[in-house]
Parts: sequence; structure tokens; C-alpha cells
Amino acid sequence: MDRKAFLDQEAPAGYVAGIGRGATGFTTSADVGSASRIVPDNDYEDDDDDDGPKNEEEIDERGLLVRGGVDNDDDEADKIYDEVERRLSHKSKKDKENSDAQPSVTSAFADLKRALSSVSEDQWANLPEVGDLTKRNKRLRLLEKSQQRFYAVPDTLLVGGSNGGAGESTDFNSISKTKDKLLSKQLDSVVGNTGEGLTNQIDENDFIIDQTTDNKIDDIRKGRLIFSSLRKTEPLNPNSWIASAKLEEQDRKFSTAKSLIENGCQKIPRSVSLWLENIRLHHSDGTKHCKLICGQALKFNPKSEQLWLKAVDLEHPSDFLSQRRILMKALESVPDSVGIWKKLIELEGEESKEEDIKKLLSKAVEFCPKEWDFWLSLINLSEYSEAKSIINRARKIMNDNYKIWITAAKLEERENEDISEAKLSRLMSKGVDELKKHTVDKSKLLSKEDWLHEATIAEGEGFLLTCKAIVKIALQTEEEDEFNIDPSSSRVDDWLSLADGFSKFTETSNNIFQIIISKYPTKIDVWLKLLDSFKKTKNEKPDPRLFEYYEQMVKINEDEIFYLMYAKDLWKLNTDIDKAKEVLERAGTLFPFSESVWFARIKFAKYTSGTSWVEESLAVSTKMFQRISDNSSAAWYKHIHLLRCSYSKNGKPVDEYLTTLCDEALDKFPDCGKLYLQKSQILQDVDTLAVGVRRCAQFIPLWINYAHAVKSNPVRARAILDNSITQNPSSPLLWVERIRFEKQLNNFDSARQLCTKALQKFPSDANLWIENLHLISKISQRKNAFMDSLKKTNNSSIILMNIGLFFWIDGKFTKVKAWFERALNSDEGKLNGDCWGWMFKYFGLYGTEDEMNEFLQKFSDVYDEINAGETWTKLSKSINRDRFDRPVEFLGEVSNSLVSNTPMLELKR
Amino acid sequence: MGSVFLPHLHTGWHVDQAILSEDERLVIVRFGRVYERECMIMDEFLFGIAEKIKNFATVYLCDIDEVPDFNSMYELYDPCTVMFFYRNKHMMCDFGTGNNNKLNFLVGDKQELIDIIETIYRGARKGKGLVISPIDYSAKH
Repeated sequence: MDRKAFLDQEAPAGYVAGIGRGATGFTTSADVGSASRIVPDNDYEDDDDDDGPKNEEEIDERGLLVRGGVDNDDDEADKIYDEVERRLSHKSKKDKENSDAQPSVTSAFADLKRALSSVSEDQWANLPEVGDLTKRNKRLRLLEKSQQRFYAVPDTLLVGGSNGGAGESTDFNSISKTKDKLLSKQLDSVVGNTGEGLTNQIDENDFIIDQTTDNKIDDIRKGRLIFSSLRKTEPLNPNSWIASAKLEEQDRKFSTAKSLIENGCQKIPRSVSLWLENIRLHHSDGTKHCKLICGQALKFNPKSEQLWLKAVDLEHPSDFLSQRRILMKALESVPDSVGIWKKLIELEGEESKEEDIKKLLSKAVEFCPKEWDFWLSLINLSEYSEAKSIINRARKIMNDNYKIWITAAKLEERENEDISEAKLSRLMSKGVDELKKHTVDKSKLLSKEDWLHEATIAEGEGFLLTCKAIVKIALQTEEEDEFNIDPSSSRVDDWLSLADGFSKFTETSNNIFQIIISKYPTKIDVWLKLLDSFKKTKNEKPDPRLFEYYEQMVKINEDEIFYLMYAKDLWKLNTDIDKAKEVLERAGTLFPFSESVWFARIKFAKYTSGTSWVEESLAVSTKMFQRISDNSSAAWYKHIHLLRCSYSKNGKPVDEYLTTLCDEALDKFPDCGKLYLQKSQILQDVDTLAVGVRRCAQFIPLWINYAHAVKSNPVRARAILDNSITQNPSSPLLWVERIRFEKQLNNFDSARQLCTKALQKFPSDANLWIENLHLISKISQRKNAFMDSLKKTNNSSIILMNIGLFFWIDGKFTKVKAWFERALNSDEGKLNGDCWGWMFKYFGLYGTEDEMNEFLQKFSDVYDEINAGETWTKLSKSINRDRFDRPVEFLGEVSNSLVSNTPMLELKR
Repeated sequence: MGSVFLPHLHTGWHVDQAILSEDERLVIVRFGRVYERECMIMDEFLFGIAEKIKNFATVYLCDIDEVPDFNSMYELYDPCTVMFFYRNKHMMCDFGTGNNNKLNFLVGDKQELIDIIETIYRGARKGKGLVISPIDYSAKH
């Protein structure tokens, strides 16, 4: 072991132990008792002499005894303590025996303890800390808080800091150092003489202030020296004069500053900046003095725009006349100053007439021909012919300014109501040619995007034709740049993305589309985009240009679909039935063998012919049959259906013609279930259904009708339904039918069984859930079933409707409306005719007139799109459909039929 | 025996210097009287382990009769008191005896003493002022 040096040194005299290292003692309340065991030195020395070396305990004991003497009480106490001791040792012996039996905790963890040797230094250091048991953190926090120092800074410091602007900066470092010193002095003073400390502190404070001000003064002094030498060496450099004046100003020696700057002005009277600085410094002396200086300055610098403008500024803003006088004077000496002209025109614009301004502008244009703003305002103020000549003049002067051409186009459009777009485009392209010729720097030519931006501005100002012309130019410039005009799709895509970028500006994007189309007329998607953008902007009536473009499109792209779209938009958006019919007929002549065109014509005839729709559409479909020899099954079906309608309308019984037609259709399409169904309906014939079921086992309605037809024989009907289910295991409709069948026979138990079985197979089928809900007898169970069904079917609209119906049956009318509305508000429910029918009934019974009207309004909006609802579709396909021509009447019929199908509902008024 | 070989501190100044002299190691000062039995055993222990713990601790002995300067400050009246310092900070250790300031009893064997010293050193390295002794002496003393 190395021996430390201090061990061999002498201790300094008068050293007080512990204080040198700041040691603090402690008092342990728990441990005071044993202090009595301190033994004076001499005692044991005596013992030592007497008895020689002995065991320490004895000596100790002796010493005590010698000092205190033997006492009876002590003896007794000793005895008691001995007894206690004995008891305790006895007990601890027992404990020891017990603990020997079991392995001690240390031995149990011995191996783990050994494993600690492998723990690295880092791991030790990173052991998680226990909570703040000793409140150390809290103590530290308090300590920190008490150590935070705050100082009251004298105002002089702050003032000095704010004045030290550009030239010099306060030395914060030295300040903080002195502060630290100050603090340590203060601390010392707490220990030592308090009175002396206080005076020290004050001295120190003064010292700080002295130092900082000294610093500043030093800096300024230095600056002065430098600047004065500068002034001597470079007396013609205005900057040195200005800088010295500013330095003096910072030092708040304004008079010196002023005299300096005046000196400067005398030395260099042609320096505008010096004069301006001079005026600025003299601002505090009132404007009159400033004006004087300004006048002097202008004497030397009559060409300075800055000084003239300053002179105008110095005039009182309401003193219009003198301002104008100064400006006029200014123009006399500097006629080509844009700033002064602008100021003058601005001034005149507030006060005088258009004529005067125009005169001014024309003068301004003469003197400052390169300033486009003057030209523009002059053009805007002039008459058409005058403006034209002005533009021409401007063009000669600024032959590389694109704005001239755009303005020209706008002017043409404004003045000539009926100017053609081609003329404007010609103008613009001429402009572009000119621009190309005269622009030296080709990169300054406008890019496609810049042109389009100009187009949007024109659109915003209402110059639609100009906008179009500009767009054309924009796309042309690019084309010519690249020299290859092949219809590459990338070009079109590029333009399309451009159009998308300008989609906020409808006209601009439309124009882009139009140009693409004129270049590549076979691009269908561009056509569609163009048409869409026209449709988007529709107000009451769609833009007539929409149909113009339709016309063009169908001419270029001969496709039946475009004709159909055209006709539909004519009919729906423009309600122009005649035109639509004409278009359809044209399509018919162009595509005589297209069934979709024929179907469209039939549909059109059906919806536009009023009461005679049956005859009209039948005529069309007969024509179709004459034209097309090999019709599809759908055509056959439609035709026969129309025939049936016509028969039922005229009260004609089923005749040979109809049946032969049916047979003919079936011969051609023996696998079409619809035709079988139709035939069975015509003939009221079970056999047809039997045949149909055999041929088209996948066609569900055929099975259902078959089962209905043999309803009188329940056993057979059940067999048919079971058979159908085995053949079509994936159709929930058949299950529904099966459950209904059992219900009709009052076999509720088996219906329930079937229902649970079906729901296991199709847990999300709304119709099955409805059957299930109807089969639940207890109202208390129903509520849970409602929740289940809604969850499983994802809030199906017909479930919502049926829940409303249940509330109706229970007589809770307010809830009914809420549920029906919920059903109708969903997208799917909006197209369900049954929902509308129920709502109609409800409003008819309980609603107010306003509610009813609003409801009918909504209904007529969606009437054409309604395509779902069991009762609705049944009725709408029925051959007696024409009895209910108006939508409302039909709705009434639907609702009546719905009510009659729901026997549980007792309608109360 | 051990007391002969371990360095003795003869004045308060030496004690202070000893405590201040170490930057990285624990300073262990045994205050007591050499002739007392407990003290002798403790000295024996300390001498025995001094070489083993030399990397993280250094041991000094101080006679409380020769240097009475700290007796009142540190309540030194036991035959043997071992105190721990680290970077001039008095390290405390919770032995379960109620007095965390010092070790004023006899530990079972040298290993126990090593364990205690190491624990104190680990705590001191982490900046703690008080550590929990690895062995609880509340039942024994």
C-alpha cells in the first residue's frame, strides 16, 4: 500500500479539525444512552497499574464500579437484566435450532450471489433506482430553489444596453463575472464583518456601472477617432460623414451630428444620400427647416427622384396644390422618372377628372415608354379606336411584352360583342410570333403554365373568348417546341393533368379539353371529362354548349352508347323530349340491329307517351321484331309483356297469337326461366311451371310461383319447396318462402325451427331476420332480436322499416316515424318502394299537410330510380300498371297493398 | 496485530487530509481505542481485507483519545466506530440498528465487512448518501 504524503507532515498550528473540509456532525437520538460508557483515561490507567493486563470487559466493569460504588438497586437491576438476558439467549438458541433446520436465506441465494461477479460495471451503474426514500431529490430541489439568484439591475444598466445599437455591444460576460464576485463578497460578509460587507457591495455596484459606461464611452471615443481620420483621408466619401453623424446621434449629441452632416453636405453637395440623412436629422426641427434643406439639396441635385419625392412627402398630405406644384416642377427637371409620374397620377386620380388623367397618362407614356402600367391604365381609359392605336404604339416600343397582346385580345372582346374566337386566336398567335421574333432571351418566353395562368386571370375578369385563345396559344407553343405532333398518349395525359390542375377554373380546363379533343377526337375519356365538366356547372338549365359537344362527339365517334347518353341527357337535363326522340331515331337508323338502342326507344316511348304508352311502346317493339330476326330472350320477354299489357288494357282475352308467341320464344330459349314464368302467368298453368322448374332449376322465382300455384295441396307444395332448397342451397329467398308457407298453415313451431336453421346458414340476410322477428311472440325478447338483426345485417333498411312497423302494431306512433325516416335516409332504403309506401300511409293517417308535401317532393325526386321493395316491384311489373299513371297514385296503391298484406296492423285514425 | 500495519492518523488535520485525499475510493476511518477487544477484532478484520478492497477503499485508524476533536461531532464513545467517507461526504448505511451514521458493532466475519464496504462504495458511486446494508443487524445488536 502506498503511503500518502500527508501522513508524514506536521499538522498546522491552531488547526480546527473538521472545519477545513466543512464537516458537519450529527446527533443520533437512538444512540445517546451509551454515552455514559465514556471512561476517563486516568481510571483505566490506575487499573492497569494495579492489576496488570486483564481482559477488557473486566476492566470496564471495574472502572464503572470504582467510580459509581456498589448499590443495592444496581444489584437488583443487574439481576433483572441478567434474567432478561438469559431468557433472550434461551430464545435465540431455540431460534437458531429452528433456523438450522431450514437453509438460511443467504445460503439459499448463495449461487445467485456468486453470479453477481459476472455483472459488468455498466450494468451496476444502470441498476434501477428505488424510489426517493431519503427524500434526496426533494432536498436537492429545495436547495436549488434557494440557490437561484435574483438581482435588481440598476436602470443605468438598462439604458446603456438599449443605446448600444449597431456599433458596440454590452459585455455581458464581464458583468456576470463581477456579479459572481459580488456574490462571493456578500457571502463572506455574512460570515465576517457585516458593516464592511455592505459598503463593499455598494462600491461593487458603482464599479459595474462605471465599467459599462466606460466601455461605451471607450467605444464611442474609438469610433470618433476612426471616423475623423476617415473624414480626413476620404473627405469626398459621403458614407464616412453619414456614419460619424449617426455615431453622434447615438451618443445623443444631436447638435454635433447636425453640424457634421451639414459640413458633409457642403463638402459633397451632389450626394443625395447625404442630403436625405441631413433632412432626417433635422426632422425634429420642424418641416419648414427640412423644406429649406430639401430646396438646397434640389438646387444641387435637380435630377434626383428620391429628393423630389422627399420634397412631396414633406408637404402636408392634404395640401394637394403644393404637392402637385412640386411634382410638376420635378417633371420639368426629370421628365422620365417613373416614380414621380406614378405619384402624380395617383394624386390626380383622387382629385381630378378622367380627361385630365388621360392627358397625364399619355404624357407619361411619352416620357416613360417602357412602363407597362401607364400603357394599361391609358388603354383602359380610352375609347376603342383610340385604345387600338395606343396598343399599336405600345407594341412598337415594347415588342417583347406578352401583356400587350393579351390586353389587345381583351379589348377586342370587350368592344366587339360578336367577335369570333378564331379572330382572337389569330391575334394571339400573331402576338406569339412577334414575341418570339423580338425576345432576345428565349428563357423569358412564357411557358405553358404561365400562359394558362394568364388564361385563368382572363377567365376571372370575364373574358371567356380571350381565355380560350390564350389556352390555345399555350398548348400550341408547346407543340411547336417539340416539333413532333404524333398523338402520343403522354402528351394527352400531360394536358389532362394540366386541366386537372386548373379544375377550379372551369373555363380554362374546358378549353384545354376542347383543344385536346380537336387534336385527338377519338379520345373517349377526354370527351367524357369535357361533358362532365359541363354537367357540373349546370344551373337551372344546362349549358347549351354541352349538347353542341354531344352532337360533335356522336358525329366523330359513332357508338350507340354515346347516342344513348346524348338522348338521356337531352331528356333528363334539358327536358327536350322532341330532340331526344330525334336523336334516338337517328341512332335507330344508324344502328338498326342494336338491341340496346331499341330498348332505349321502348323505354323512352313508355315514359313520354302519357296514357297511350302501351300502344306507343308496343309499336316500337313490333318494329324491332320486324328489323331484327334473332332477338335475345330479353327482347322476347319485353315484347310479350307489352302485348299482355295492351291486352289487359283493351280487355282482350288471351288468344292464340299470344300463346304461340310464348311457345316460339320458349323454343328459341328453352333455358330462360323468365319466359316460363311469363307463360305460366298468361295461361294460369301449373304444367308450364313444372316444365320450367325442370329446365331452369336455378331460377328462384319459378320455384316460388310453382309452390304458390299448388298451395291448395300443402304436402305437394312443401315437397316442391324442399326440393327447391336442396337444388339451390345458397338462396335465402327460398327459405323465406318456406317459412312463410309454414306460417300460413299456422305451423309456427316448425316455422321457428326453419327460421333458426336458415339464420344459421345466412346470418346476414335481412328478409330472414324479418321473418324471425315476426315469429317472436314475446315483446320482451323482441327488443334484443331487433338489436341482433340490425347488427348482423349492418343496419339494413328493410329491417329498420320493419322495426318501425312493429312499433306501429304496438301503437307507438312517434317512434314509427323515426324508424321509417331512418330507413329512408339510408342509400339502400331510398330506392326501396316499400319504405316509401309505408311512409306515405303513415303521413296519410298521422302526418300534417306540410310533412306530406315535403315527403311527396322527396318521393318524386327519386321516383325514377326506385327499383326495390317486394310489393313495389310486384305492382310495377304487373300488367295493370297503367291504371296508376301518376307516381303518387301508384304509391297509394303500393301502400294499400302493403297494409292489406299485414293483417296484424289495425289502422286507427 | 492489524493496528500496527494500518496507517494511523494522529491529529484532526491528518484525519481531514485523509478524508480529502481520495477522489475515487472510499475512505474508511476506524475511530476507537486499540486496547479494547472489539476494536482489536475490528482492526484484525480491516487489516485482513485491506489488500482485497484496495481498489475501491482505503483504511485509516484513529485513536479517539489521541484525537478527541471529532468525539462530539461524530458521537464517538463506542470502543470501536467505523465511518465511511466518499469525496468528503459522510456515507450513511442503514444497518437496521437505528444508527445509520456509523458501524459501531462487530460484524460476523470479514466477508460481511467486505460486502458492506462494497455496497457503500456502489451507492457512493451513484451519488447516494445512504445505502441499505446487505445484512440486517437489527436482531443481533
